[in-house]
Amino acid sequence: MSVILKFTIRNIKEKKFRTFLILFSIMISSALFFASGAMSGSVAQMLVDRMRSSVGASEIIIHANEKSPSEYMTTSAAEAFREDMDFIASNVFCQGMYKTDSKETFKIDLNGYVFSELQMMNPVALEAEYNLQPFSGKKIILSSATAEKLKLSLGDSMDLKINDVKHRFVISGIAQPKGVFLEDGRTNNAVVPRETLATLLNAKGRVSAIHMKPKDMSRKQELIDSLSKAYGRYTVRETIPEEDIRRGANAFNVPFMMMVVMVLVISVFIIYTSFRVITTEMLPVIGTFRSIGATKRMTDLVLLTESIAYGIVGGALGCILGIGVLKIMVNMMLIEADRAAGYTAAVQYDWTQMLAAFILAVALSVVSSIIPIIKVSRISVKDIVLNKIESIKKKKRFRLWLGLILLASVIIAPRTAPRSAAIPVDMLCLVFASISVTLLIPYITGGFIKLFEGIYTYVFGNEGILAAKNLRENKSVLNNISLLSMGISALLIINTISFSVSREVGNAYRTLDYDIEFWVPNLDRQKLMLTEKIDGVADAYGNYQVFGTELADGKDRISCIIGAEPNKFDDYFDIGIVGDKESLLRELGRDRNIIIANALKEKFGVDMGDSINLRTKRGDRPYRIIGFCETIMYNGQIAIVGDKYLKSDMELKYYNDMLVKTSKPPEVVKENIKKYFGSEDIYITTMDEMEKSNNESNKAMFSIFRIFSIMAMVIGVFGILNNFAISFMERKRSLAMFRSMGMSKGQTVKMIFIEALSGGIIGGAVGVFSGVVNISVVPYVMRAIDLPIPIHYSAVLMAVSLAGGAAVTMIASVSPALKSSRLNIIEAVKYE
Amino acid sequence: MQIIETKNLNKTFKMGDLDIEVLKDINLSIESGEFVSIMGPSGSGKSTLLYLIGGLDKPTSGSVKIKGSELSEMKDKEQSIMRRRDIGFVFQFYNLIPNLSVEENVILPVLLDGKKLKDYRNKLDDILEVVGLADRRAHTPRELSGGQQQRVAIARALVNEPDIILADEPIGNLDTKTGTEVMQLLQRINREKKKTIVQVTHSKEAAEYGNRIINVRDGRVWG
Repeated sequence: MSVILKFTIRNIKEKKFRTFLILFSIMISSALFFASGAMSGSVAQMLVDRMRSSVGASEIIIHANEKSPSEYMTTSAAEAFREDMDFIASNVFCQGMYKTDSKETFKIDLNGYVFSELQMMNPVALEAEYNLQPFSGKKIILSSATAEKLKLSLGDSMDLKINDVKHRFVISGIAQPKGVFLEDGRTNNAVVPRETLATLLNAKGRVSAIHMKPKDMSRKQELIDSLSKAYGRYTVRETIPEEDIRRGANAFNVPFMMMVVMVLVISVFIIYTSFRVITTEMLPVIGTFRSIGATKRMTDLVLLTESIAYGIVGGALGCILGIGVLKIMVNMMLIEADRAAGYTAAVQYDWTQMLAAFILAVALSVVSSIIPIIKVSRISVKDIVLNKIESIKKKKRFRLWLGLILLASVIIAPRTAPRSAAIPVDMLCLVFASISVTLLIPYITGGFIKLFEGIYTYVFGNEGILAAKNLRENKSVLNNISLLSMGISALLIINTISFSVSREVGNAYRTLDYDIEFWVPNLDRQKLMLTEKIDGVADAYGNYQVFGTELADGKDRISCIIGAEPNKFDDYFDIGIVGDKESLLRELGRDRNIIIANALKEKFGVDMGDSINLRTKRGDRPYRIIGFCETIMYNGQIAIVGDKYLKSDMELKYYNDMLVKTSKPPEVVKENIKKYFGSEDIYITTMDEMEKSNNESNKAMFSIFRIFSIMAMVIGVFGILNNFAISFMERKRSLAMFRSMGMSKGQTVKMIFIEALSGGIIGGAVGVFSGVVNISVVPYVMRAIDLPIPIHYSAVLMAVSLAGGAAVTMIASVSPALKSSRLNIIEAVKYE
Repeated sequence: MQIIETKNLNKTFKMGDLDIEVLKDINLSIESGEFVSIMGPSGSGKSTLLYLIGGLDKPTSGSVKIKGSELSEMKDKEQSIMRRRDIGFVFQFYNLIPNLSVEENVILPVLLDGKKLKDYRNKLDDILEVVGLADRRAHTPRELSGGQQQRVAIARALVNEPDIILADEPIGNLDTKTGTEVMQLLQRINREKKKTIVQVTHSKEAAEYGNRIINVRDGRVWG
């Protein structure tokens, strides 16, 4: 046994490239699996961190809603639960305006807290303080970033306009820009004494929100239920809703898992083909040892041990590499704005994820190698020793049928699976697509060979005909075609999705037919009329919008509802309304009618004429569906109602923003608007700027996906190189025989290159086909995670993939071609 | 007419630090139309001699002339052309291309010579008739017996109508009955088509099909 093991270890050492290839495949697969699995946790953690920055350790929050009698409440009911809580911290919130000496106006988000309560909930790290305690009266704490921006220092006075009344505060503390003072460059946070602010807001003794943390976290839901009863007309909920976070993180998780599946399929293929070679090489030794008394179990165990060893080493390396990959991925998720705001990449993983990745690595190696091991195990000793291994390849018709059945299921299943099962069904379809293509490749190749034989006669002469014939039933060539097609398919999928998203983002912005969007406080009709008088403004439109409106059943929500002014909406939005736009828009103005996006139609399972009950500030209101629109704005989670009804039901006093068409360059008009509203806090952007910003954040995410697809291609290329090496070893004899018949060195090299080119073209074509089949599954996955992006196929991408495939195999064939010209004919011909 | 001639032919192999002299000073002459059997014990150098004659290997010193042309003066391309047109090889293990049909295997030398398959259809039919495989033309080697595969190899060796057939242990991998059939075929080719045949063989019975035996022992010709 130890001799066999010695042979195995020697074999592993000798075949360095093959060992590297197997380990590399396992390592990359387990690293990407680990990183993808941990990614959702890290993304969730990033989201939690963002929320935590403002709410600290708060686990339960009580605040007003549309049904509440007032936006403020008392804390007496909450105090009854003090024994159950680590802390109860209440705050009052409002916005104030500060004008600098240079007449620049800044909006300040004022949070009124009892300082000791704030320190329990979300501790403030003070850089400096002046007469801070007792924290009462008109004292204010600013972040160091805000103080620098406003050119204020400790001890300075600060006149704040609150509800149009000026109040003088004294800066008593400068805090580090974190926690409640974490800012994104646009907001300015400040903390003032709670009672002071409540008094200024005529809400003495009341608060805007109550934050609590239970002593026993397992009782959180029970306490929420009890507090809900105590605060019947107010919202009592988890401060950071885990369901929302998981939903948000899931949107990242699913596409990563799709890519991991593709990488795994390639790895399985590579390990399987490598083990076929390993078991073939081991046959004589196995035969010898079985003939002298080693049992079948012993020899099987040796092969299995080699497989497990690869899994263990690859898995261990993969876990280490996976941490690095996870850090890179999470860092890439952070866009510049996040970094500017001081957010850091939260890398979160635990030992269970590492263990899962490690187990996957071992399982991957064992599962991929088990079939060759079993096949060898079944050969009798006599046959091994007498070298009578049956190598007749029976035409296995069942492969053709199985391949076609799997292909059909890939086409049919995503279209018929229920939404709840969409993700697992679609993942399975990705695997089936790869398997079906692999099974069908010999038949597809046969078709191409017939084509090539005809063409090559004229293009390459007889060497071309020979090259085409050599492709027939050539295992190594077929393996290369499989690998190439899988790699190209992975690259094509991700690049097509990226291309589609960019195009749809562009299209989405083209549906917005205006040049500038801006907001100032109290944006009303008067400001609309004033805007129209600004130099360069051709027209203006006041836009009503509400976000995150719940349906009355509480199970779903609409991300954005636009209130359309029937006469002007069409001038500003081309939102893909199906049918007679003008008539439908007029209908919106006549009653509580609604037009919803097709994605929502599918999600809610509704149709024309049905009613949707919206939860509004005035209670639940039914809106009748009169039409649909095809748009991916807000990921297709959008609806349009008449502005009159939206304003009334949601009690909107002001426009959400102002949309402007310009008669001069938008950048110029933007400055004019800023100058005009100079005394007010203003948010303004041109459409070009918005599109650019959107593209940047999408670019970050797709960069990560590209890493996956490039890894898949890299593994595939290594596999192709290995196959070429194996192919050369297996073909030495036939190459030498060609030479003995009079084939010159030049003819041999030419033939090998033509074989490689042909294999590359076939692999590229099959890869494109397989990519298209896989891409056809993607919309269903995207729909399942509320990202209904239509897919756009790029002919250029496909052509590049095809050419790339040919180039890869041509380059990989250089070494075998050169070796063939140095072949020792006699050795190859005479000796096995 | 002398068709094959060797003069002071030597071949030495390097095995690590050792120089092993496989052929020593071989002087040989074979007339056109002869059927020569080279015999000798294992390791005597007989196969090496055959491959040197066929241009598959280079001598350490000495010369090999095929139809008056010195092999060492030929470039690879010229040697390749010579192997296509003037020499046909038959090997012990047939060395057929497994995924090509009988017909495709036989026609390979024609394709290598840049000729069109359609111009050789009739010749192909004739050759397959000669070797008795006309009804198996569409089969692959895997579907043939050892004897049939060797006959395919012989057909391939004949397709370009070379003057010389070199056979290395042509019946070494066949049973007696099949071996006899193959030898009878080679003899027929020699007598009817006047091809010069040089075979390396262990078998006395096989050697008797020829009309001359050359014994090689310890790298030298004996007798």
